Amino acid sequence: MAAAQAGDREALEALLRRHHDRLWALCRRLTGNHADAEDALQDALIAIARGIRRYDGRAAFTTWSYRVATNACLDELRRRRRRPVADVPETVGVGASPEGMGGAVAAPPATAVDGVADRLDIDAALALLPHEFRAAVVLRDLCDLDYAEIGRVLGIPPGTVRSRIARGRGQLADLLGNPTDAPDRPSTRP
Amino acid sequence: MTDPRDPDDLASALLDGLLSDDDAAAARRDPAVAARLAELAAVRDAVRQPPRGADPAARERGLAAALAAYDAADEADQPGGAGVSSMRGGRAARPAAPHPDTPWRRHGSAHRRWLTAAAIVLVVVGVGILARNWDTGNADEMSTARGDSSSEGGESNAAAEAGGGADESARPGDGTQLAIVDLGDVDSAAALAERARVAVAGKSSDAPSAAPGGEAESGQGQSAADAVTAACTDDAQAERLAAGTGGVVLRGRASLDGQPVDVWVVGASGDERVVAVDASCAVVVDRSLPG
Repeated sequence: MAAAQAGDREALEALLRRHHDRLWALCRRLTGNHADAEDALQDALIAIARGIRRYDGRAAFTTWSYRVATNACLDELRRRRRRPVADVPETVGVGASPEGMGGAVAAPPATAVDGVADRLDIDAALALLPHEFRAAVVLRDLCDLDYAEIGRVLGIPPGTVRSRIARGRGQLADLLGNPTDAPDRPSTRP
Repeated sequence: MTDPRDPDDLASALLDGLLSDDDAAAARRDPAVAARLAELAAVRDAVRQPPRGADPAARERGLAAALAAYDAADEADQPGGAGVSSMRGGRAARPAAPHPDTPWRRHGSAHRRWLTAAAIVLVVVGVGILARNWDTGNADEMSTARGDSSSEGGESNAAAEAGGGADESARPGDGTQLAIVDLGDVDSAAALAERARVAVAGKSSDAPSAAPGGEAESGQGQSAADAVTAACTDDAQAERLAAGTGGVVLRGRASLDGQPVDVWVVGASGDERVVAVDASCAVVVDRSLPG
């Protein structure tokens, strides 16, 4: 870290490579598809590279990089919502039409093994959550941040973090438990 | 804030170990909470499953772009920079004018390149204006103005001048000379791609708009690899990125986070990519054109 901040290019590359996979997982879960995740992650990596010298260490690098990546993903989601052309998610399994994913839905393959089917469902269900709920749940359950860290990443108080996680998990449980109810769920717009 | 007696809130808090021993015991005794706890635990386990990994090529592109940005920012880092909380604002707030110690100094060759190109373009434009005036003065002669975007029947002289033949996948705008479009100031690759998308969409119905100063370069029929590497002959990466992507749909320039970049939209219709290189010929953007 210190070397990267001091201008050591190789140190930065090593740092980015070390953290790439976890940032990818975050972006992939938040955006819901590979293409948007790649774009968001590239923006995040560039932002990290440009901002590494200004990183002041008050937050752990992991938290800081999650913050940068989360913001990049939310920006990407906002842009996607403005785009008229549907973005077809490659993994959708819930039988609903997630507005946030361009309305394109594919049925899960009948032969899918349970593990894969679970992943299909969770991607589609996450896409139906309001962005702020989705981010809170993913940061907690995928990234394993505590509530205070999530609060720093999202810029919200811990009490709000708790609320969003609870509501997000609750909606996910409903969606995964009875996907046909999805259209009746609260709006996916934040 | 949710109702603290809400089963979802209690179950979620219980799952994360937020409740005291007494509260946790009380929550577990509530059948509604207990049932919900199992469901939320299943949700947590599902979210925890790692998604499919990133495409290795995309990963390398992302890392390369980040390192290029790092190189460019290496000498441009501003004293008294912002901390974590202002990271995003800091990107947009980067000074438009280069710092004396910024990479712009080592990009002198790039500046010279542009000055040379501008001089050539001025000469060409001047000759073109003279020729056009001469044509206008001759009432018996049909206009044969080069690069006339309103050419009828697709028999534009520009097609012959380009010498590359027609590109089957080219857009309507390819029948004209490709002007360098000023895409303005943007603060992210995504924003640049969006500007490019809008410009390409405009080109589909309108004649291309030249950058201020009226610069125009013939790009019709030019391959993406030719276009990118013509500007960055010392950068094999640009050649690799541009190779095999088809024709050039749009040429432009922009200021990306305060850094001047040359921009190309390349590829076949429906599969265009936005490629941008900075003054040191490093590829700083390579992404699909937004839908």
